Amino acid sequence: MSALRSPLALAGVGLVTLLVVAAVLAPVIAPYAPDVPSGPSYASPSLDHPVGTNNLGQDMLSRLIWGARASLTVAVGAATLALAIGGVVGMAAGLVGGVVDTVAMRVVDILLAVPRLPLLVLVAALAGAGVLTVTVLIGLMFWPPMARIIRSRTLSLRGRGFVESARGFGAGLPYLIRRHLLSALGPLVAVEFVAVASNAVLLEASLAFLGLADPTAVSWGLDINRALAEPGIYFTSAWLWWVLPTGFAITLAIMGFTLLGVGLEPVLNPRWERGS
Amino acid sequence: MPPGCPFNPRCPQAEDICREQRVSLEPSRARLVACHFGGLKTLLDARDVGKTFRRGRRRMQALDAVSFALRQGESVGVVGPSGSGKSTLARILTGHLATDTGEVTLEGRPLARSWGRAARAQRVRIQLVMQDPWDALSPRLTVEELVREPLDLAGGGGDGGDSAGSVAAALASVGLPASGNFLGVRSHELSGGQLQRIALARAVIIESELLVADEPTSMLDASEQARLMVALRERQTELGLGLVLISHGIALVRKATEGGET
Amino acid sequence: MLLGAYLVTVFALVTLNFSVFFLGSIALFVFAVRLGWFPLSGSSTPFTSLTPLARAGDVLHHLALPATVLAAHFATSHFLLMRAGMVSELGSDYLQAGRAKGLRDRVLKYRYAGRNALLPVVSLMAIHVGTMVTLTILVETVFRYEGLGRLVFDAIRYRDYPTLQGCFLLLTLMVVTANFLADLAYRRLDPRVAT
Repeated sequence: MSALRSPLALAGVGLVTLLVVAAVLAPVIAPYAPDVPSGPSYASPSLDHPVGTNNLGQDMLSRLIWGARASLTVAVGAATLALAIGGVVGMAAGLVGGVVDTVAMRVVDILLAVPRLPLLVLVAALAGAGVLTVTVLIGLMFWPPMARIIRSRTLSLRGRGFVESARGFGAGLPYLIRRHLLSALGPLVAVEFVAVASNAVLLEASLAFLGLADPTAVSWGLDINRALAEPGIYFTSAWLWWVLPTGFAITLAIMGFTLLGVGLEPVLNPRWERGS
Repeated sequence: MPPGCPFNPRCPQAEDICREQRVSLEPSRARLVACHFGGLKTLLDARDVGKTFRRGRRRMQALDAVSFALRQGESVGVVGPSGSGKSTLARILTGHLATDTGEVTLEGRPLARSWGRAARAQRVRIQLVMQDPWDALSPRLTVEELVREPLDLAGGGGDGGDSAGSVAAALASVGLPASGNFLGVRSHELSGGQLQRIALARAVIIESELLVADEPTSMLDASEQARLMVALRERQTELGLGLVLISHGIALVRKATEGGET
Repeated sequence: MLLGAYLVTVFALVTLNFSVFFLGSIALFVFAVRLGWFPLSGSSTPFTSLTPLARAGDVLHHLALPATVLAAHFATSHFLLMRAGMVSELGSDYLQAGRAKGLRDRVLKYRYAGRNALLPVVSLMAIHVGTMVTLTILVETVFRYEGLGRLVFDAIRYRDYPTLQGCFLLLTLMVVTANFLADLAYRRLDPRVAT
């Protein structure tokens, strides 16, 4: 755990914690309900509304806090889905090999060639862009690279001496997976989970920015979309407290996960693993 | 007089029949022997073993019609320069690699390569001590977990007290401490020599018949080499194990074995 | 000098996480609205008839900010990777040998260490080429630039599904081609990759 003491990792942990707290405790912490006009439109920051209000008079701070929910849900949901599918496929391909491996990797190669954002845009526009749909879509987008990475690690572990030794002692496949494979894959899974989460936040925000989000939900990307749709937004100082903080919120969420991943990297390659 | 052969409690190759039936003096292999098996059993029999590795269009023949036989308690040395297929032979003999031609027989039965339970039970009888102890032992497990693993896999785990005793005994038999401190140590904190002795302890803690040591000393310094060879010879003598010692150093092999194959 | 390098690195580390549309919005606000150096939207000034040269200049003027934003978004990761590569290369033994042979420091830095550190960056660039094509969707939306990306945005707004499908097809073709060309280029640059 000494790896997590590096300043970058700590910053990552801090930011992600902030995100989780905001998402979970939104009803408690937010000063106002996010969808209720609680002040004059375009009010500049004041004690009542520390980050001002938007064009409908909704409190920006509350919208910032509530927006964490969408981002966190999509991030964690998509990462979990990607790892569940990618993990199973990757491990199976690595352990079983042969036809299963070849078929799986060809499918992965094909899926990897498809550009992410355009496909997401197309499917979200056609199928509707609720939080659940977006989460599932992003998760499905990221399982191929996950499968690749896990398969590669599985293959290298399969050839390690201690796996062969265990086989020599009479170990069957279930034991090998349980005892040796899963514990070795653990750090890798953690790092990749965080990487997918980081990307998912960005993609959800991008989709919402393009207008592909649930219009009744509070989403940071959607706020920016609405802001930039206002004619003349750049010429009022409203840009400063409507777009800027929201953009920073997205950035900090992404950065939190990225830094967390950076902090976890040393755990992935501890000194004593270098022998391989 | 109890039934059966009088040497049965001490004999390393005793089976049920030895406990039940008396045996008379018979000629066998140019001697008179009183044994159900006519003397020492042939443990391992490799005949015309060949292995070719294919990579795309390139082929590399690692082994070409290798044959030798090993009897109970015998030591055989395999010497050759690097790349002569010694490790390939080691892995074939222990069932980790399949032969292309020829056959390997262990205790009269062909060596199986499948994942099935019977095949696994057979493979336990012949153990491999690998060249690289850091690779052969998982960096995540403690010394205790490492030495216990073969015991647990053989199903002999039983209750904790039983296996703890076996672990301590196995460690002591290779000259390593069995203290609580040492048991909790992980592989990256130990030297190559200590790790190889742990690998040896793992190989002998279960009832194996035969040990194949693939260049066990090449990654160790001189004093560790000597200590490992001493431990190896001691275990072999006491348990009556067969030994196939593979090395590129002919002096080492000469010191440790009787038979020869180059 | 060292402080400058440190600050730039920290700045890059932070900016790396900015979404490209956020970056674009900030750039628009600062350079187009507040400073007035660049036009506010579109790919060319409408309703004018200009000489071809003036027209070209006008297009470039409109292109400058969106293109720079898109480039800057990726430049941060290239900068960080190159910097890391240089740091690791500069500690290499072959540089010592070169210095002993009498080569000047600058030659050593750029011709030898620099070239070796460049390889992973080029590889990363090859991967980024495809992503750049797709991110034009976001950049063009921010700058109201008339391109394929803006077409996608409008198609979403007006629920024009056939156009969306067509855009997707076209974008995919562009990405695949771009990746292929980048792959070819990379093979020529890296001597270690077998042809």
